[in-house]
Amino acid sequence: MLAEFPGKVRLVFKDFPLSFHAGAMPAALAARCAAEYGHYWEYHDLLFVAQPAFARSDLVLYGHRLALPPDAFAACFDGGRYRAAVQRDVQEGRAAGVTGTPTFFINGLRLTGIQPFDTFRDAVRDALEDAGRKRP
Amino acid sequence: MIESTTRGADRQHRRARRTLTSVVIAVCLWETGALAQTVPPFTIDPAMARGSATAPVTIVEFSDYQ
Repeated sequence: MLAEFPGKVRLVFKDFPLSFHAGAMPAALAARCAAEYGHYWEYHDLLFVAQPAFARSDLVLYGHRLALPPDAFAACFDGGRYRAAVQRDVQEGRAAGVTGTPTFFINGLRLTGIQPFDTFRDAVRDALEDAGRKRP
Repeated sequence: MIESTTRGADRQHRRARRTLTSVVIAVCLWETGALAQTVPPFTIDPAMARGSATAPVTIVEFSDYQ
């Protein structure tokens, strides 16, 4: 999507670990810890490829693949450094009506669940048109 | 008698016009998406964002990596 609309789309990821996905919170914490080393998106991509392998040993392994300092990285997510930040994302999601994942908001328009790429393309085009209309 | 009938008809006419105006406005708002859900602004962690911060369209994804 970023490639299709260069300079016109920003993608933001927010955590919404579901309670029945036991590994979701540790994965979210680990990804934020990877962000400390500038590797959030690489770690994010590894998690999606590796899902649902989110045991502690898996998370450590993914960090190793990105050459993250093992002890510091493990201490970060073991200690729950970013738990409050993850929970803030959850609260924001709930306030916006999120009940499941994935849920997307395209300039405020909610799309729930996995959608075909064309659906996103159309929604982005509509949003760009709206943004163009509202421009003074 | 005639005056009260006329006033009654005027009132009905004004009411109908107000209703029609409301419907037209509602349709226009629907078309522009203003009646679509409004969501509170989301906080953005720059480390968890890709693309230009000034991009006109923002896609926010809530997910749990599964």
